[in-house]
Amino acid sequence: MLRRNFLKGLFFTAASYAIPIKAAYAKSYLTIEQAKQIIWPNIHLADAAITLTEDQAELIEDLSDIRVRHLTIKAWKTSDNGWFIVDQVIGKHENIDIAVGINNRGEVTGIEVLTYRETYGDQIMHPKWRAQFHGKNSSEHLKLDKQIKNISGATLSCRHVTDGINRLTHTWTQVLSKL
Amino acid sequence: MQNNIERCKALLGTFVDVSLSGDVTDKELIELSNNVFDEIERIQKLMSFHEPLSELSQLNKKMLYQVNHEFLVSDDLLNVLKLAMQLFEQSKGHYDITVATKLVLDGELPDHLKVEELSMKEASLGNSQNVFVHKNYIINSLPVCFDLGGIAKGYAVDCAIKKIPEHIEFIINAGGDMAVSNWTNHQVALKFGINQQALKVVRMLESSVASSANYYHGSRSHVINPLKIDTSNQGTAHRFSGSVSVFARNTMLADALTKIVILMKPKMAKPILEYFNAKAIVINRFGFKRMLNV
Repeated sequence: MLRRNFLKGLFFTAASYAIPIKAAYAKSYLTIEQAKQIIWPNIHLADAAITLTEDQAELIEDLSDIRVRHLTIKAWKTSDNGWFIVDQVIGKHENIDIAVGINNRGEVTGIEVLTYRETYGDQIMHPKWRAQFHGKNSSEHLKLDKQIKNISGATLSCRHVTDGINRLTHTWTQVLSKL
Repeated sequence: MQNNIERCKALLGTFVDVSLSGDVTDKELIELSNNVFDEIERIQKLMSFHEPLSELSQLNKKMLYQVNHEFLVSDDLLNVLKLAMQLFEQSKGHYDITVATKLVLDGELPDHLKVEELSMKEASLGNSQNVFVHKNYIINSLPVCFDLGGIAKGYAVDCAIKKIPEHIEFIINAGGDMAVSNWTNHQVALKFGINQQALKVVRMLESSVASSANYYHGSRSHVINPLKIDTSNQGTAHRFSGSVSVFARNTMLADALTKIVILMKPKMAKPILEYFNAKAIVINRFGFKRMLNV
């Protein structure tokens, strides 16, 4: 019995390495509209998408010591010069969409994780793999059985989110505050 | 009508996932989830080792540079320290929050308390044996400092669920330390490897579960065996693969007991699990599971 279980385990372990897995475990939380209501409740937000120049991106990279992956920033603005930004944070094991509120003094007023996608190996380094998420709803990705709402496992560090916020506060200082 | 909300924030150094449902409005669910996150943030501000102004850092600073003094601590910190000291006794030193000094010297924790400098001057740094709890006071007979990384996340979850009214169902998951309402109806997927398919689905065996594993750390282990710390502070990281999950009546207990199950032989860990009426599932890297006290 033990031997059979061992062989079964061995087979599935080998199979999991041999068969390429393209789907990623993903979990959606708030939509952009819901996050707007939580971070800036009852405040009108006007579309204010930004495109950074190469120089600006370089300066932000130097100041924050974090790579700027996209020159375009999905942003909305309040009448009081507050900002609502939707950004993507890429870590070693995760690819996360976050929404961030920044007030007119440059203070972060709220951070919400919108979508969490778990990755493994060097999958995340491939532009093709990352591209599959652009403009897609996470419901298109592999999900666990509906009854299994949660995973208990090793604690994953949120350092990349902290780094992403740091990059965005420098983006505010260098660019958004001057608009 | 049943309504629900699911939010996630970066707190406690990890991702905290809060799911609430009940016969209430969207506005009420947002307010309730805000209360939950605020409570978790409050505990983070008290017990963060990384934050120099946290109550824990202030206590650590005093304990490293003054001995035989009485240091007053908050009720929250006291709750956590009392359990940590009890587990130190029961595990015969395998569970020890004073491994903080070793973690700092290893570069796993920041050295804002100048532990490295102190370790060069001091002949010996203490451990939990040199710590005494009396009422709301902590007394140490040798320089020590605490890291609550293996217990405070669970405590934060326990505090947060006290903010949720009885008619609301919840799942709170702080980086694998999880509490659920109506736990008998729930299942949980235990992740035992970095591969996305390395999941074992089991039914909840208690209202809280916590897991510890090394797969996000590469070849390094973040679990220190306090009984193997030598003077050169070498070779004490405890290597293990797969994962350990503990089910218990509260999340702080589940969180702390995972380290005991990792570090102690099953025969030695089992009586401790029995004492707390906790259950453990150990899964090796091939997915074979072993139950302790189930």
